[in-house]
Amino acid sequence: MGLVEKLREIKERLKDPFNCEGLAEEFEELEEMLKEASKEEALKAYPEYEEVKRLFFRNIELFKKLYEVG
Amino acid sequence: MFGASFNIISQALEVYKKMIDVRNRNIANARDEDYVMEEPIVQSDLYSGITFQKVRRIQNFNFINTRNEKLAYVSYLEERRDYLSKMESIFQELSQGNGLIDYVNGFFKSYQELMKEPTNEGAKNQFLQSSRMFVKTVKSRYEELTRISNEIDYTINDYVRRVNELIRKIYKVNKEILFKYAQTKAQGEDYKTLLNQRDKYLKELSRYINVRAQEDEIGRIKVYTSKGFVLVDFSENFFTLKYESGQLIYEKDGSDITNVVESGKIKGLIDTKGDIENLKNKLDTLRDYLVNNVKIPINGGAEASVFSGTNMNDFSVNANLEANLGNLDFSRTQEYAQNALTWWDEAKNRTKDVTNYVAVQKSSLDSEYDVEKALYDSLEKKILERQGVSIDKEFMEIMQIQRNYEAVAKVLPRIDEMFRTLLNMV
Repeated sequence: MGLVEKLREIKERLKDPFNCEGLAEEFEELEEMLKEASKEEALKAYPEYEEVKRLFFRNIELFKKLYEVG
Repeated sequence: MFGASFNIISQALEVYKKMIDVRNRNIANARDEDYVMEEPIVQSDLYSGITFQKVRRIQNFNFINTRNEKLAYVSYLEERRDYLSKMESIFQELSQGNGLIDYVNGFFKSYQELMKEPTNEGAKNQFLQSSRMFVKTVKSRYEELTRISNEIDYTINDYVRRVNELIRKIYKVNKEILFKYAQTKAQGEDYKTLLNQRDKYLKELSRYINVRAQEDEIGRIKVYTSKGFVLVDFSENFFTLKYESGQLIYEKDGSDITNVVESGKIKGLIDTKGDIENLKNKLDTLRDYLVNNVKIPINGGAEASVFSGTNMNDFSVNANLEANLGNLDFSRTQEYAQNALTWWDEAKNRTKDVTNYVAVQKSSLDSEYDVEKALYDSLEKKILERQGVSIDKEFMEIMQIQRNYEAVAKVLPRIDEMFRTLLNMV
């Protein structure tokens, strides 16, 4: 699986904020993949990564709202 | 002494009967997605036996508000996407040969043919015919947009009527809640059917307009729009809306809240009207360009416009075009054929501007819808799941979410750094 595919897989998971079992492991795998990645691969994957980050922080904001944190 | 014991036993029997009623109600409504599971709260006392305190609804109102907020946004996106699909089909860019761009190309091809063979009667007729077809097509697209815009006005009026109906229903339910609370307080505040009805109306209202709700201690709700325009309050008041001359009006004080509303079907339609205005303006700039630039050379060193009109209503083929074609200046046709290439390019660009607008808007709304609908479905599913969940289980679940997200938050800066390093590499 390539970097872009991995990020798309994570993005799909993050669309459901409660689907978080094993999420950290997915990111650790991503970290490992990045160690081997070329600049071209990183360039191609970066927009997907931005989207993943956006969804991640959106979910955190959502949990704050749902559970009245902060 | 015996009398007191008997009282305690009969009271206990009554309480058990009520507990069974609540459980039965849960079973009977298990398939109703608007039903919220209930839990009988019973207090046990050494001297007075057991007493029925209240029926607790297993519900977190933050979930309801957030789910409704997402429902409003998803409904907004659905409404706008539906209308953009309609507009896509008006311009028929997907069916070969019928798109606006095909009529632009057809017209300029016939122009080129005529300039190449200015004496050819067939080329003249073809040019006349394609000019008329072109005008007819641009006007019909414009009229179709106006028709949709009028249809939207009608639909917004209907939606506002439904919003007002729901506002009244919520107001009525609030009153009934107060009445039932007073009536059943001594026997355990059992009026949960009203609270389910209240939630159902609130959810329905959120489809049309984004609202927030605040629940008081007895279960009545205060409903308000963004920026705090109250629709239903705790003090037995309700305030309706009206749609007039393209504006959404808060009837209490006549405020224009068109731009205050952020989502829901009504906002979807208001923004669609904005899309239509944009498209009509773009078609108008195409018309303006054609009228002011596309000319043919006529004898005496003059030139004549192919099209006329100052707006889309009087846009037409120049009334003298046929006569002017009989008076073409053959010595300058090559020069005009050359000029027409520039007009053709510009007309194509302006036409693409129209069709691209629809395509770009639709594609951006499609991907947003995909993400937002997934979130809405997930919240809806969670609300249904939570109805049978105990506080302990819920707490465990929050802990698990927190653990997972915190672990990701620790990895994220490292990934950020790696991306930065990789992308800065020469």
